[in-house]
Amino acid sequence: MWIDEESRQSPVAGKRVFSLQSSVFSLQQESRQSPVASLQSEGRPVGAISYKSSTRQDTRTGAVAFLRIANCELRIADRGASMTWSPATLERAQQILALYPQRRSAVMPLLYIAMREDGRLTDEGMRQVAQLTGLTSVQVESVASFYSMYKRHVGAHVVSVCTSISCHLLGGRELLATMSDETGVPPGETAVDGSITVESVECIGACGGAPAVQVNYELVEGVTPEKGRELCRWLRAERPTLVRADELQRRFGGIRSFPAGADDPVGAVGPFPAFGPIGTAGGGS
Amino acid sequence: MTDRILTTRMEAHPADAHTIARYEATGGYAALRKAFGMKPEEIVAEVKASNLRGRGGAGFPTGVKWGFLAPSTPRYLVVNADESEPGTFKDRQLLERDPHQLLEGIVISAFAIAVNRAFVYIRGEYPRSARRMQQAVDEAYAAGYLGKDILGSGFTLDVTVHLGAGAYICGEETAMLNSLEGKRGEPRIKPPFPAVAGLYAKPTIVNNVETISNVPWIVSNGGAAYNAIGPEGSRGTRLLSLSGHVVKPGNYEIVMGMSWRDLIFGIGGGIPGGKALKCWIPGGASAPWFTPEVLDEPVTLDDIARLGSMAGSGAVVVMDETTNVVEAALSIVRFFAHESCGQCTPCREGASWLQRILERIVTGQGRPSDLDLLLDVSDNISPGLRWPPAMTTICPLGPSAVSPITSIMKHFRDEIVAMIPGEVTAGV
Repeated sequence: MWIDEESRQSPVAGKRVFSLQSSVFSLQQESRQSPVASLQSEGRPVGAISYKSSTRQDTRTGAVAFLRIANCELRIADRGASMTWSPATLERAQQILALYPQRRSAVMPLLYIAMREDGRLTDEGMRQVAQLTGLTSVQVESVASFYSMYKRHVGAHVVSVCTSISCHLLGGRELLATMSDETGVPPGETAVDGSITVESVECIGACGGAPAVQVNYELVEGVTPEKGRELCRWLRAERPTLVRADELQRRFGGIRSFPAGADDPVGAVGPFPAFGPIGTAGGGS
Repeated sequence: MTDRILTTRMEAHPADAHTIARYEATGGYAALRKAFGMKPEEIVAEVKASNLRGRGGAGFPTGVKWGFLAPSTPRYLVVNADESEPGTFKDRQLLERDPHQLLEGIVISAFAIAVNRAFVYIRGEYPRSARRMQQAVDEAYAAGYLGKDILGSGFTLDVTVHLGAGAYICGEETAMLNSLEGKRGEPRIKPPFPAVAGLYAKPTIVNNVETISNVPWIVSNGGAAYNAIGPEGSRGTRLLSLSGHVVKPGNYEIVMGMSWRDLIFGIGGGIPGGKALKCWIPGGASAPWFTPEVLDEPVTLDDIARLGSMAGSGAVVVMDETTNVVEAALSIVRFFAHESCGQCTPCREGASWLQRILERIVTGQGRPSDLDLLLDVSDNISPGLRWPPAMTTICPLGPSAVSPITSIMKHFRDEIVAMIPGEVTAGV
């Protein structure tokens, strides 16, 4: 007996549907071994059950094999198993799932969707991702906790100041101190009102435009301490709902790593990167 | 002789080099049509003949890597766009300014190695790059360069752009595959190598953005033409990211073989304020540092290796005479301590201890025994402190944290000693 992998992963509100396909050896063996009974013996709550049965004859040996598929619903109460995302978000999630040969691969983009739903990563968001990918919430959390951009505690704007080697050589740490001073938010912390997070980050690939900063992962290069203060004041005064790299660069930037080419109309709408593989960007424009 | 391969289009057409219209108008996707008239093994042979070497850091010959691919199916191509080595920003330019060049390289490479599914794994801090790449993918599907029966060839390829989420280690190819499988980005023990058991345990090739971006040119002009550019062992052009204390930082596509002096003082415009050069990192934060006595040595992969470092990701970080090298080393060690995935004890514990020791030296609280301690911890991460490093860890991240330590101990020992109160007796 085994559980069909695809069925295991089917997300259904309030329950999971398992397809239990029995082994195909002999009628006698099959009648003794009920897959549903074995699940029940493990103490797992089984809901509605339906069977599909068929027989097959092996053309070589003439033996008759018996195949039985039981579709049973497993009620998983402790996982709060209902989808709370909107139909539009769920549709987007399904499109993302379709981009990968295996559902689990969609964990990372779905975690960004979860952050977009709630403005940060929440237990509920991770539960939704777990349901969609066939993982447990704890498995999802173990993935999310590995990556620094899945943040459980973050302000509406996350200001990331690079302090890796090239930015370090050109004043990255001083810029970080200045921006912390201007916002009153120590590095790695979030303002009490939830408006802003200031953090030191490792190399963001803008070494030719050091020191570099990202606001909600939109880049601004060549930031002087004075411009860094202005940027903080702008965030505090305007609380911009859309953050665009080109605008940041024009207002607060200086030297850049390379010419940027055409403007990019898309920008970030929260403390997560403005990218979605489906649709234009996952940000706003 | 050609001296630019990758950056001509973006330079000539800054406003729209990233669009399919401009790409096609400047000869784009002609190499793909040519490739479909070739046998896949002929394309692999051209790439082998080009002596193209991987641009991610290890410098492995690309055609040889392709030749290792196990015959079973399905098989995958993963493009490594997780550019995170401190000092490196070349792939970002290729992704943002000429994504179709990369995409054409992907389709040709996939056809050559019989792959029907490719992924572009872009680091999470590069959303603009990911948007540009996704736009290129969408345009290519609409134009029939991706999807089923591409250009009537019968060849099918689907490409997914995948965004990382802030983990340097995912640039290591097996960590990248774990990440792409929806797992923690922890490197796998090799063997098996990805070419045998990679993504979903299927044969997989992982190539860097710049590597694949060279493929259309090689198919158009032939492997022999590529092999005719640059010195032996460093064929073709190479994008170097120049940063730190230089007048003109930036990405420069060069033919290798020039001297470091020509690179730093010629192309880079020298040191700002007329200051003296103190040292530089020749190939990203993982690489041991160089000092001015090798300024007239040639910039090639083999010469850099001969002098005890590596060309790595092509990131050259320049430091002037005012640089506090202990603080600079601390910045790099802190990076590796932060980015250690935590699987292997020597890296997880060792890198963070190196960080703590350097931090107390920098804040004037160093102990006379700290030089010995730095060497002892380093030796436990990378036994013998030689280059290329001996490994006690699954991947090279741990030994990379040792590079700045051995560099400052070798070249600037007096400066460390001067920061430590009291008598320092050991550490040689």
